[in-house]
Amino acid sequence: MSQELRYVGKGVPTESGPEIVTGKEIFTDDIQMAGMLYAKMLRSPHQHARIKSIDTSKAEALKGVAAVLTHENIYQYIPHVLVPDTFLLESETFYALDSEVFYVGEEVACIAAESEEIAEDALALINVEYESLPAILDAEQAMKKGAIRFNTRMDSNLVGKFEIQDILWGNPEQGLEEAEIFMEGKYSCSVQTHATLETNCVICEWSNDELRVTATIQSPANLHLRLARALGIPQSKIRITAPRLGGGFGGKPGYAESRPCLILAVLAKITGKPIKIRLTMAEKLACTHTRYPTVASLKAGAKKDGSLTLLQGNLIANEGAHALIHGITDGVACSRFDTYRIPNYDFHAQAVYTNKVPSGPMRPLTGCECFWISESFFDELAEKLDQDPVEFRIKNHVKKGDIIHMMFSFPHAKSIVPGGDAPLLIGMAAQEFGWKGQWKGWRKTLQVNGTKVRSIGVAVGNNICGIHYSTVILKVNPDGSVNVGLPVAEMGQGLTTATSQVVADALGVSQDKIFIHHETPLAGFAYGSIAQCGLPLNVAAAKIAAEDAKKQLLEMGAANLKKKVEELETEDGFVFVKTEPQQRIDFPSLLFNHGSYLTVVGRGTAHPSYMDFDPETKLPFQERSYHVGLAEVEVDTETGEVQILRAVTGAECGRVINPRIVEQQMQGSLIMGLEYALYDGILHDKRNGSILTASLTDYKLPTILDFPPDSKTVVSADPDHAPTCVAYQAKSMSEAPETFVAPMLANAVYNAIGVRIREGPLTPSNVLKALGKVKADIAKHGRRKSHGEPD
Amino acid sequence: MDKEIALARRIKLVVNGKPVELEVGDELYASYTLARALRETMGLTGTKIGCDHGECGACTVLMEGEPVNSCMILAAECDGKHITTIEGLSDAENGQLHPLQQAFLDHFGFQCGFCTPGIILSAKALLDRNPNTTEQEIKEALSGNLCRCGNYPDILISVQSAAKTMRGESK
Repeated sequence: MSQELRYVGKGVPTESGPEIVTGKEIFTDDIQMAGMLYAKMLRSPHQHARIKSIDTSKAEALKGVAAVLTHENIYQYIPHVLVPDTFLLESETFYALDSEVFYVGEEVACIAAESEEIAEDALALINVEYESLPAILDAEQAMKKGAIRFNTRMDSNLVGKFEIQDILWGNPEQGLEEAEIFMEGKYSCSVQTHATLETNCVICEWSNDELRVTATIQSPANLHLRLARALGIPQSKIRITAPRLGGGFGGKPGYAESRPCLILAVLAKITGKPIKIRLTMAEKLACTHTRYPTVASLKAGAKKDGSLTLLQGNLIANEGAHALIHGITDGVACSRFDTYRIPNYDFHAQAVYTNKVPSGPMRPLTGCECFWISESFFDELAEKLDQDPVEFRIKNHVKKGDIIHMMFSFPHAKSIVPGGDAPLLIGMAAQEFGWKGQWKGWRKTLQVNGTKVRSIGVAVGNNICGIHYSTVILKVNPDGSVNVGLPVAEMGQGLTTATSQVVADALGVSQDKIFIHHETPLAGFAYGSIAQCGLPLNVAAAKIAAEDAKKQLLEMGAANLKKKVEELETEDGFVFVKTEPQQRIDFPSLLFNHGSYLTVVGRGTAHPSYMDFDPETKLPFQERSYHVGLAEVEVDTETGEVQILRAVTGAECGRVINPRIVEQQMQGSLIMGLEYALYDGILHDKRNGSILTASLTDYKLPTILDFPPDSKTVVSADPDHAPTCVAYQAKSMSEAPETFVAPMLANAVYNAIGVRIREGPLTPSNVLKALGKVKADIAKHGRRKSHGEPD
Repeated sequence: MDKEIALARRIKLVVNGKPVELEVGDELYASYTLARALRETMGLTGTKIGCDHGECGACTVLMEGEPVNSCMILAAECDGKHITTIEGLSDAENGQLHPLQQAFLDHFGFQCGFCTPGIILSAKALLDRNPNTTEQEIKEALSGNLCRCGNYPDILISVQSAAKTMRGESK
């Protein structure tokens, strides 16, 4: 049973709230410094070209321009090396600046000037002579033998990968023989992007020989190491601060920050001044990274009783011109297809380089892409089996003790679900939705009103709870206040609130005594606010540190109060005797008696697996947070418009640290997933791969009018569901809640219109195309194809 | 605007109740939008710049009590105008928060907080006009303010709660 705690489990408000509602909270772009210079990037107009020459003399001569960097002069100051990627793996392609450019919008040169306006004016004065090179945009074409190479230095367009990332289990031939029902299909989905209202922003300055960086960065500790390697200076000479981020969602993990950081570090050095760059929204949308354009061919076999025998599949993810997380995309994508208990797997995934704008992580890495595909596919299989889609999922979903793919962990291909009961959650959510009374069978509508038809659908999703490990430094000051250095950023996900709640309870102090800062190198190390690391790693590490500090304070208290440690407890900044609470001493008195400061380090791991193996199978444990969603939609068969009328979303998230933050994450994910499913998304120019939707007019975001009128969240929050999560058995809640949304809507739309849309999104034109009401070319182009235009 | 005229001009504004006089030229670039003048010339960084194209609403401030996208107005055009930014909402004397600010705090009206100043100001213009507002009117008044975190349900609850306070029904 869960113990009653003072802060954990309560809807404690965000500690930064007073600053946020008064406009005092400092975001990166709010920082101005005396003598500050401003930078602008010159970007490539070509999808693939060699830079024959760059003449910057006219730009340099413009009044107010301080310096110009290109690939020709930057390596006078830093080593000419490939920049490590976001996961600190060696990149195959990525230099600070290069003589070859690989996508439209790639950085070619950078100007530092006294104002953004002057820098902008100077861009037009740089004269670049390009030699255009053959380019490739389609990932399936790029995989073929003899395909055009996206990069003349590379032998292949395949992103290098680790050997055991595919899922190859059991005996696929046997699975084929045992199957009585088969399902086959090819699926693809649309492309979403982060579109955070705060665009990426970086400030660099040097203090003697220390580089100080302030940036919109989800992973300051990773950037720290990457910068040190690429700049050729010791890590001890770099300090990175991550102010509160105006949204992240995977859009600020280091790619859009690392290149500007490297270039600005050099510009700050040679000019002797602080320097800032803030990307415009057009740059953010068109030149950083998006979700993966993904396509998959799948085949599954099942017995008539509904049990699954086989999954075969090939998935191709278009990586664009650089791999942000090198060679991991494919392995992670595989792990999106192990939701159901299937004994025989033959599943391959491949990330492929092209001359498109890079793809990369977004809430969560490959997750929404793959669940859209897999949950549409398994829905079709459930129909072939003539099973209720809720019952199909309850019957086949993995649960405690089942084998799943070992995401991110290379020595093991398999892992074990350590706890959690997703089928229970699915049942709870279905009951809340009233599924039993509503479900009339496949392709049956609930209501028809003129051209408008209503029906329902269901889908599941999940994501890993963190990767690797985190170290957090906790300091109890002589006055009894507490500092916690978190090596990851706060971006609205509530990580600092959750950390201070947990530390307050674990240490026995009042929450208002705790201050949390996000700065390297003094905060410790973690991969970042990515891959749902917050709770299971960083909050866990903070809790471990708080428990260590508490143990030491109890020992000090035992000496002072002449009691045994077991007789004592802490609360509200005091050590007291359990049986006589009035016998107590406060932390400041104890600390002054023992040399004032108490500094401890806590380490949290995402893979307790490395120490914690299932005794029977000898496989490592892997915790994931499981989710489900059920929705009712209305489709206008005349206009093709899809409306979501109501939804019940479910989260199996271990113990809830802060129920209000859980609700916020579920709500935010629902509307973000709705945008992914129903809106156009990112559109590429078919001629050169550039992004056409480079403004918030063209890349439409949902407004307050678009939120579903009726949505509820159910939480299955038994702490026994997360036995390996050390922060009070709390699981992550930040990324996985978006994974089920698009397929939930796709499955409901299918039941409403009776036609499956296998190529997302569910836009009016695609719905009308599915209904045979418009010609394919109009659906694809939004207009009739002009003569000679390619498909 | 003609550069010669712009250079010769001084503009007078009232920002959060305080008179501000700026010389277009050295003190204020003629090309500066109101958003940049507030942030960079006057140091009022509570006004956020998101898209810088009038699409997202993060830069919303009140001009003569009406919400405007401050990224779409040249500062030099604001001569004689009364401007209210997020910094001007709480009580200048005792620091007490405006009912909207208090409601956004109490009801989790934000996640990352980047869009919050603009949303609070759009809501203020609405509630100043009519605190007896309907849910649909609130949604329409805020439909020009994007919240990428998708915190819309809690934003709606926050504004409804503030409206109640402003009608004198609570607190």
